[in-house]
Amino acid sequence: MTLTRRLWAYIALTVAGAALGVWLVTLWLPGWLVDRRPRDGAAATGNPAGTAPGDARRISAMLFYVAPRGDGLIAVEQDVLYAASPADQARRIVERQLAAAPPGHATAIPAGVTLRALFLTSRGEAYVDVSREIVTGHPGGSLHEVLTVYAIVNAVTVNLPDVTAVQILVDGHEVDTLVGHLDLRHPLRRGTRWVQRTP
Amino acid sequence: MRSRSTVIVVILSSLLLASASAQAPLPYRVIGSDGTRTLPVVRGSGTTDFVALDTLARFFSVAMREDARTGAVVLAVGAQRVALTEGQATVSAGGRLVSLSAPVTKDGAAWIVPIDFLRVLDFLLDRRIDIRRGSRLIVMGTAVVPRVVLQFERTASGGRLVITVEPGASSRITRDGNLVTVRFQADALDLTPLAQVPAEWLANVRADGPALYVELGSTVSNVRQADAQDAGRITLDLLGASPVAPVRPDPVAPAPAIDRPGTLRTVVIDPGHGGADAGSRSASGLEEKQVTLAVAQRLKGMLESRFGVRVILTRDADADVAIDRRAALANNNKADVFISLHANGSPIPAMRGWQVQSLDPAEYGSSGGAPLGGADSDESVPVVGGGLRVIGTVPWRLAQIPHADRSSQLGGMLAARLGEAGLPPQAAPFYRAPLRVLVGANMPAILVEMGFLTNPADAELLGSSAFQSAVAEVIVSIISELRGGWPAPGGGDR
Repeated sequence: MTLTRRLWAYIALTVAGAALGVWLVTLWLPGWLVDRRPRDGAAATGNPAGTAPGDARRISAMLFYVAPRGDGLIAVEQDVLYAASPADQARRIVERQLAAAPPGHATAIPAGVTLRALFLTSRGEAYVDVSREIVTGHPGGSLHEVLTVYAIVNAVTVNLPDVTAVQILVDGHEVDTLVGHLDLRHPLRRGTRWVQRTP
Repeated sequence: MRSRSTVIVVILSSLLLASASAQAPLPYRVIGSDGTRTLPVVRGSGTTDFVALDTLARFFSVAMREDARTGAVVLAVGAQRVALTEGQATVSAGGRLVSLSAPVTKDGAAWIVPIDFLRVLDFLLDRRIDIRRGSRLIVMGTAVVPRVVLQFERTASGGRLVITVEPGASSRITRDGNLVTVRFQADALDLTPLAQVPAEWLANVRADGPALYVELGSTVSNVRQADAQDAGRITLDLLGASPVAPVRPDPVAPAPAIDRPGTLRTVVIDPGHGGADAGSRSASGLEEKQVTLAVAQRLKGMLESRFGVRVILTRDADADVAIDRRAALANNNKADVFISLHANGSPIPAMRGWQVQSLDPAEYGSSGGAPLGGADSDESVPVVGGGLRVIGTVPWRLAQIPHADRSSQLGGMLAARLGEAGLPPQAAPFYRAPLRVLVGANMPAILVEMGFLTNPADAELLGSSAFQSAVAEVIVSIISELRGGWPAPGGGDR
């Protein structure tokens, strides 16, 4: 092997080694680290702010589903992941409320609705921004709209006593109503009159 | 001279004392499953009431101690601590900051907190504490205290007392002479009394514990329950000793040639939804916007042909109409009544029946946080010839607020009449809610849900011309009655 050929071989090896190093650091290593994280609830939900990785503590929250007769809501106790701040806890609760109902219960929330954002004000108001499916997927009717709205309003105000009213936003915008009935232009207070006692 | 000064001082002192006693806030009745107690109020303001912290601590058996080092007072609630600091409108409860409606204060050695501090205890004790400031009630734990609203209306056979109970509670009705007792399965009643009771029909109505006592007036010879037993509503027909002149004219009677002054002249009917907004839909594809338009058109024809009443539809075709335009049309035409027609939907297919709704003003009131601003205010306007005149103004977007009571009365009347027509009602046939289409209407306004398109039986009814005519006939009978004036005086709507 001539000196020139040996030099080219060294250069090729160095370049290949550098490329391997870059691949290891930028692509393989992060994936390996993620795979090694504990498979708990926090990780499964993307570890949102307010919960340390691996923190699977839960709180018991009252969530609201359609009463068997259909003329109101009933409160059902559900486990929800713990969050350190009220805003993060409210997000956890609303996400759970928007998800499918537990077995034996019916939800008033149309399928596919997701929480886009949630923020609290110093006046004790919560702004819950949900995806447009809450309008496009809603089957209509004033009673159904009442149940949809107050399932969310009650889930926040009942579980977070320092939140006294909730305004629902859709795709980041204030809306008049969901489907033509309930006035959503301002925060609504807890609606316990829609909640029936469970037998 | 000296004696005159003494007299003046005594008079002034008496006036001050009388003034102070007149303004003393009423205490709260605290109702729990173990009985009723009284919670004294130290002072009240326009937005909240204040109570002594040590009284609350005794009520809830909570240990209370002052921390001399920090100047705070600490309540021990189980394993959790609540720290309150003078002048602060927030308290630290179980590691969280909770805001109060007013700062914590001290009166001598006593700590004074706003009544909503109970919410903190509600949270920490995990025990329901429902504060009803309007009726001076605090409902605790599992105690059942339904709200009871009374409505009285004149009928052809005498009078009718409608008792609406929310949430519904089963009851037993007995009569002893001129005293009718309605005893509910509850711990107490949260009674909204009748504003003006015609003494010849109702001498007195009062609540004591779980019982409602109705003392009949001298005109009443008999009482009959007008509807089937319903946990949410009781209708008592009060029958007169002698036949009374019918209040309601025959709906099929020929229309009078000229409207009498002061009677109902213009009705706006709002067929809900329309255009791209189909509303709810039945399994067979019947859409809410079709049903509402069909009933509205029937109603318009009946009212115009029978009474010569001017009827305006917010839409007379399958068209989009903005929600504000519907109330604006009624306002601009100085309508006397606004009726919005709808058909309901539910995730529970078995759910069926009609329902009447009116605006819930509490969602817009100052005690509820006034989310849209004050309901009304005075404004000075210049007048011809100089000077100013003070007029009361109501924001356009809250125009319904002054009419809320009359709308509620109208809703009650219609609900009663629909019940008489034999149509199946929901468990709560009449309720109030923050309804967007009604809030801007500057006249008595209601929303009628005629049935559930998500229920197969109701959907079939809603699509039939016989049912549509039956609903329209009931509304016509109400309009007919209103043409002779509102049944009970008061309200000051117009």
